[in-house]
Amino acid sequence: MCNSLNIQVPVFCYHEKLNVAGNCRMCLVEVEKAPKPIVACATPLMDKMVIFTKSPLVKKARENVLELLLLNHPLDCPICDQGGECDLQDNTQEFSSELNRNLSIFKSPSTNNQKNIFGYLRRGIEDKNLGCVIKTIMTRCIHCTRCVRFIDEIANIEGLKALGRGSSMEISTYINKILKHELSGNLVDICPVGALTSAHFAFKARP
Amino acid sequence: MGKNGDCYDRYLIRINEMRQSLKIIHFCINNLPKGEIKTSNKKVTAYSKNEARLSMEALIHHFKFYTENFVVPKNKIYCATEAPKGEFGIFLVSNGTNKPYRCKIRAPGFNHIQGLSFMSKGHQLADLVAVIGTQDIVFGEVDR
Repeated sequence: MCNSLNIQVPVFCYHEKLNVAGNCRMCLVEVEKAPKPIVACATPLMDKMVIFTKSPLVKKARENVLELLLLNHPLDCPICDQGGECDLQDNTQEFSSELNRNLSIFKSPSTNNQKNIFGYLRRGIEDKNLGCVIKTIMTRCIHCTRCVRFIDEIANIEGLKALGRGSSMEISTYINKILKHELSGNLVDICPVGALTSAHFAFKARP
Repeated sequence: MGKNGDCYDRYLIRINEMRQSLKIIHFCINNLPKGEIKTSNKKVTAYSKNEARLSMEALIHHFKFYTENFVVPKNKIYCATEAPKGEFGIFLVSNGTNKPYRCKIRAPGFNHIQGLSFMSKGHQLADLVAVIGTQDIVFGEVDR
């Protein structure tokens, strides 16, 4: 709804050709008389609705969502095929905090101890086999479930699912199968980060 | 000094200018204030490489800063400063991207060379060298 007014709302999970999932929480906006910020993608427009997209509350909400996403993201930008056209990079550059709290910083890099400042290890997830055209690096995944919805709705097969909840959530085939579909190459474009990238293009070509 | 407007006057001024420049440089070095040298807002300044090795936020900002730099809002500005030979100004137009839409550099040498024909009228060809020399024109600057 904001897009038609040319107001930029950052998103990860929203895609105009797919059903609304509303799970990335990146598009939180403030609505007058609503107690909490609400997701712009899943909220129907009503009469005389007053929406704030640049209020301090919205800014804070976006910063927090990004900080939490980056806690578990590997430091792959220089070697990632998505680097430069990555939604996570774009949104971080534009909407993350200027305070630079650097929550995802390692405690002691010298001892190869990959803990963030809360003392948690960075999440490690096994790569999946999604066919020969897709290269997967699942630690980069931010669980937007765009790929799950694409395979469900456009390709019309029950190929991909999200397994587990919370920090143990991962996108997977059901279970340990190979994703076989003629449209599976589109997942490369659908993925907002570098989790699903083109296997043929890797380190050889630019799309 | 500097009453006749001839080559010797311009020469004296140029020498004096250098003395003054040295004074300014000494003054600046001796009066440098202590403290931070750039803003801590990491949207417009780069993270250090060491920080980018450790933190994801720093890595993304580092990557974006050195590949795309930051986006300047749509606007235009003319900013001038006093250069040894006159006003040195830059006119910049931004169209809301990371590269300038137009950039015009107004160099003082270009304006001085316009007076060359007037200054050398009635003189010998060999005097032209002295006139150009004392105008202190840099032709690379004129080209801009």
